[in-house]
Amino acid sequence: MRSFEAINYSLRPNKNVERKLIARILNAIGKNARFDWRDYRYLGLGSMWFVDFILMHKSIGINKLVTIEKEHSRAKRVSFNAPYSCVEVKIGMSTSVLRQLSWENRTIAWLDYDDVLRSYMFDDLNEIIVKSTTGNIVMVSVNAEAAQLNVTENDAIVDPMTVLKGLVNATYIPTDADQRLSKNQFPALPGETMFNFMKSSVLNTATGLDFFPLFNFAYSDGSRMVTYGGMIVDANDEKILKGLSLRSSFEFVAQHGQFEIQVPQLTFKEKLELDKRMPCAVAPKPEDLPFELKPSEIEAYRKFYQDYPMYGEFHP
Amino acid sequence: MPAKLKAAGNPSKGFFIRMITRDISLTDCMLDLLDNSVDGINRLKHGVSNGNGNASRYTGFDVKIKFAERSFSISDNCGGIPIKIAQEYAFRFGRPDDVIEDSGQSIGLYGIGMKRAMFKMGKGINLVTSTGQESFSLDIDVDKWRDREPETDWDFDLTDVKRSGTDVAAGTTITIHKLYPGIKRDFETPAFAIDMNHTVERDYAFILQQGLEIRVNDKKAKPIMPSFRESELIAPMKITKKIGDVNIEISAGLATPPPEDESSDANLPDMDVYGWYVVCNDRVVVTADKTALSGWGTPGVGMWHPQYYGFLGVARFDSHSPDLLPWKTTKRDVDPSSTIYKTALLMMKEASAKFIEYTNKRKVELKKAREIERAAPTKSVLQVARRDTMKLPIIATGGMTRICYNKPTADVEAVAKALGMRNASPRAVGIRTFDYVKEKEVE
Repeated sequence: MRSFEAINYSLRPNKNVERKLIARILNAIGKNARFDWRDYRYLGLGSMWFVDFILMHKSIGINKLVTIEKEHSRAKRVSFNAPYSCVEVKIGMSTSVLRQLSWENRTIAWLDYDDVLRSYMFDDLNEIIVKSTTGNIVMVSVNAEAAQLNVTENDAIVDPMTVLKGLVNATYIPTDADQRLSKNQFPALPGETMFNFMKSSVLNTATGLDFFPLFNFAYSDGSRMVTYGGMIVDANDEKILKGLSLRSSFEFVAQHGQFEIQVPQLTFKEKLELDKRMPCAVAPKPEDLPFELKPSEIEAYRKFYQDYPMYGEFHP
Repeated sequence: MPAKLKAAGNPSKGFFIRMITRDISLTDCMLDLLDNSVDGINRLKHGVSNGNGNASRYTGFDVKIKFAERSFSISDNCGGIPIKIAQEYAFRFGRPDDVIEDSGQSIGLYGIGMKRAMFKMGKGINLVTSTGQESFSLDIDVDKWRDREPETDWDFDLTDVKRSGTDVAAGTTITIHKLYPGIKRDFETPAFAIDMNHTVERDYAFILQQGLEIRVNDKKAKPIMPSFRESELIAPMKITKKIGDVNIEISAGLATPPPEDESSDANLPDMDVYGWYVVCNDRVVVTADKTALSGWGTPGVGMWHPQYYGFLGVARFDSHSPDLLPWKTTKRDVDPSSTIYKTALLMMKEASAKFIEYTNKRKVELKKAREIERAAPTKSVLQVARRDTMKLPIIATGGMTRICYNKPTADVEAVAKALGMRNASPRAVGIRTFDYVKEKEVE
């Protein structure tokens, strides 16, 4: 990546858009009385920033939120930064905290790891899935850089498939994975692997329950990331979800492939210039703009300009 | 004279349907059907496997397995079932004693596999088969067949019978629908399909290697052959022995250099690859065994330990009389009471013990051992040369001390990070810290 494209790294516009797309899908589902989010609990990894928590409370209406923080040394800081009184802080490793949680409320769980694939993630997901009832949503975000499989031991390169199998049980790795380890092909793999894992875990855990995919996003604000998730459903809830025909309103609802969010890093002036041309059915041509952008960037902006964040410095 | 009283002793069909399907997994049932296809080829060829992975024995033959929420099917071009065989025994429960072994090195044994597989999966069964000359179909509505009177009528009706000049292509297609709920669920589970694919690639490796093409849900299976490191300095053993009508071949040695970190909580991928394999008439029946079945933890051989990671052994048994081989009816297990197997086990244990000894010694000159191990090319079990004992690097013992200790995971990770050793094993981090101190502080 060219350095000026990375300037906004910490601000992560693509991640920001992703959150809003997730909120759009949740709000569409929430129109059905069966999924009244106000009765739900949100379970996440809020860190210091709680961005997803604010979204879940303000835009989705959830009033019971739980954050898991692994660093004991940051316990006070996390509690201090919790934005609402309805946010409960649990300190400990996610796997052990999940084991102790009660599961009375239906839950939206988003394990938004910023880590590369690790085997504990599947333990965490499994812990959530085996406790889940119909209507629960489970999501996971994970680093999807192919380079995470590059490992050397004593100056010898370890076969990347061996590394992958050390992180994920081979049972969930797509059978053609060895052909898909390049930088650009790899991000689809964690998505499919998560599908295989979640669907298999649900089907193996409880009779009468199935897994309904909703989210499969790839995005990059410097590092490639993937978010995968869906709802655990019984036959009735599955019928309701199918009846909503989400796919016809939202092209980014998970179906077969992965949806890539790739909005460009824009300056304030560039954003205003583009906004003057929105909405539009066809994206402006690069040559019609007073600055350089790739056609794919303009198209991505056209699709998501309403969700595009703008950041500024302010002095409180 | 009063009429003789008799107590009914005949089995009920319902009992059979319930019982024969109970003790076998769905995967094994599917593999039984695959075995039937392979036997079909053997019946056609009347030949004998030469045991050396004759690359052409099964060339030109293919089997397609498909399964989804609604149905299962297996379709092959492996010769089909002749009408005479169908009439006489192919659909009987258990092979009659007087059936002459007609299939060379058969892997079908008891005449139960096909029925067991079909009844396990669902209630609607359709079979179409053709030898290229003659053909027939067979439809079974399991409920109707079970309830049909008289109870002693166990026969199935053949339909669409063509005794000559059929236009149905040679081969057999079995389709099963009206699947049972549990089966349906398994077929929908992604992990089931991935495992099935993997199982076929591993358990049919020797058969795939000889040219058979198997597709599982349209994906072509590639053989996963047990392989060894073989060079001038390190090589597996490979010995043969003939007992009666059974040929035994035992190979054992190093498949992969042992891990850097062999502690119990180390992350060791592919652990399920290592251990002993037992192969009967080219069909892998035991994979990567690390239990007493293959001698681990019995007198003379220690319990399996991650330190032995990288060890591979293959015990092959071949015979024209499949009932002499040491396998169980599911073909997923060995009969440990078989005398043939007991004889082989002695040789297997000797090989394991020799390898264990090496893994202890190699720690002393790890660098040298590792270099030799790594430099040796990988060869499939079919390619490695005969050799009475394992050849292993010579390690000079003495002058070395082993250090082993525990530290909090977070600290180890932090130290690794500080040393620029992301993703390195804890062992490597430990060695680096020692070298670091030696370099900076020791004169």
